Amino acid sequence: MVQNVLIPTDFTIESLNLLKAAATMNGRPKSIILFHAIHLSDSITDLLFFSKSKFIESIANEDFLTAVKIVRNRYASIIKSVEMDLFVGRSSRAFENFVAGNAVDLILIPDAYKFRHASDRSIDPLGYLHRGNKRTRVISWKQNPDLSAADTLSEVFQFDPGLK
Amino acid sequence: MAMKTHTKIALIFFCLVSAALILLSAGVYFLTNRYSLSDFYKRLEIRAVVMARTTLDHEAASIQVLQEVRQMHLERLPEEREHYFRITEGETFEAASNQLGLPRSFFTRIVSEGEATYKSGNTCFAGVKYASRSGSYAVVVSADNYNNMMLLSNLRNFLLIGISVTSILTLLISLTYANKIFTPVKKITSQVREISSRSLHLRLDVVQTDEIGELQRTFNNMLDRLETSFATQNNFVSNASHELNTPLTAIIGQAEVTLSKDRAPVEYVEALKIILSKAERLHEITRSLLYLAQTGFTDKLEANESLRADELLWEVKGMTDRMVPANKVQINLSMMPENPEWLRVKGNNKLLQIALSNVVNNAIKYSNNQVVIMSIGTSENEVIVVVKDLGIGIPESEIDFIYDPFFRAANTAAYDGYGIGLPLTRNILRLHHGSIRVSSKVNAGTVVELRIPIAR
Repeated sequence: MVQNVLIPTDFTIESLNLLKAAATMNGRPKSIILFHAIHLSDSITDLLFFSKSKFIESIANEDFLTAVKIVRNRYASIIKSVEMDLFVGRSSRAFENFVAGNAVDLILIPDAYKFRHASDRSIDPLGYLHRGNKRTRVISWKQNPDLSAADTLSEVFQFDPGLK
Repeated sequence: MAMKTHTKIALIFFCLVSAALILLSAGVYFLTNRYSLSDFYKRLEIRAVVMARTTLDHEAASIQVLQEVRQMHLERLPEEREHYFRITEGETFEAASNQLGLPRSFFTRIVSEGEATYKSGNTCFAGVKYASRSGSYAVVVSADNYNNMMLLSNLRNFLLIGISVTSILTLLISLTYANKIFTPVKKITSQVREISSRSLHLRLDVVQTDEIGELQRTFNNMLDRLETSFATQNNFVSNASHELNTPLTAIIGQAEVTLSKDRAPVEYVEALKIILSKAERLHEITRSLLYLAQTGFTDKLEANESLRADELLWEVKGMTDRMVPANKVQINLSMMPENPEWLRVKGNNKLLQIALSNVVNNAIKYSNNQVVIMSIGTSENEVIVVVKDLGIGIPESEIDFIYDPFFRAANTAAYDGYGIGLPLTRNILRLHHGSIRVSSKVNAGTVVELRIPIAR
């Protein structure tokens, strides 16, 4: 049975460690939703022309997308699909609906990692994610001080998902 | 028919405008015609009714009023005629239709629908059914639609003249304007003609900000690139000669000095050792140069075999172990794709080994043999190999030049090298339809990404 896993992202390669953790958790096939939380504009004209896919295209850079592909190919039999979505709601109730609407079985959150703001509309997803929730699992990894590879593609090779 | 572009543009524009004008005029003419006809019929119908009431209904008072109205307000139309016919049961209107030259359907329509219209040449007929006290009558009024004919023929003439004049004007104006647009293009053509391999420094003057300006700017960019590339080629030749000359000079110098007087055998041995090492260096340089030249000038790969990219990593590690036994090169397969077929590429094994080993050797050399990590993974359609070291890095200001043959960055003074490794690697990757990307931070380290398309 394919598990639907919700993973927060800030479009950095380090945050993909959650994806690696999802793939190595148990042997069950998974369908991943990478979600990013943003604050929608209040202006009607902005809303009229707002497109989730275009927004994501503008903040997800080539290296990030390549890194996602590399991880997918590594765990091809487990990761059945990876979708990128935006959460634009403003309350925990809205988030609960988002979770229910996507039939999420599992939510992964990082232990010590701080999400950065990928755009000036971005919100910290940890505001909506609670550790105590029965569907949530906390994943931790060692933060790497190596700056020379910061947010370049080589970062995807750095962390071994064996680290818990 | 080889027509100039500006003539084509002008003709197309002319045809479009003429077509639009003709359509518009046809529409105006047609609609005016219809409207004026229906208008005329209405006038005839009014007269029919008035005539019926004055002639058929003999009420003295209303007759007088009606006749006055008729006199004062209803003008006499050209060739106006009035007829009336009794409608009886089974009446065929044969006589009536012959008398007036109208089809019988006209009369039957009057009987069934209460009104009918008919036009024969310039004469218009309108008929109404009038129920008087003495029975039903078909009242027919006819007149010549003379005024409206005049109106319509005037309109037609005006439209025809208007179309012709406007079309000719459009043609002339568009021919002139189209020519004007192409003047800057002609100027560019004549300016570019001046530029040859000897005068590559010439550039076009960019005065406009529109598409023509874009074209001029793009031309200038292309000329910049051509000039740089010509300069690079010239540099290459002089650099190559210089690099080859240095060891040769050392060999000759050493030999001359040694031969200048009698020496002890051990001195000859020393001298020969020095000469040998310099000669080997020369050999290295010429071999690399040959590779560089060969890979730089061809587009096609010879010996296209199917190989596994991860095996390439192991092969290069083996080569490195032989050359630098104390190396700290590690291979990281943690992100290797699940399906090993996704690591399969098509290419020349030897060349790819050279490409990768150049990068690995640089990593070892410029980090003073610290840990070097080779990682491999597969993206959508490329195999990506990443070589990461913790060496001296490349200054940001010089990172654009690392692919120039013989270029060595400012911080490499303490290290041996000719500056050929990276250009060769890039050429080899290009031959394999791949690419190389280098990012670096001074004194922190360098990351080199090599990408090769997966063999499908």
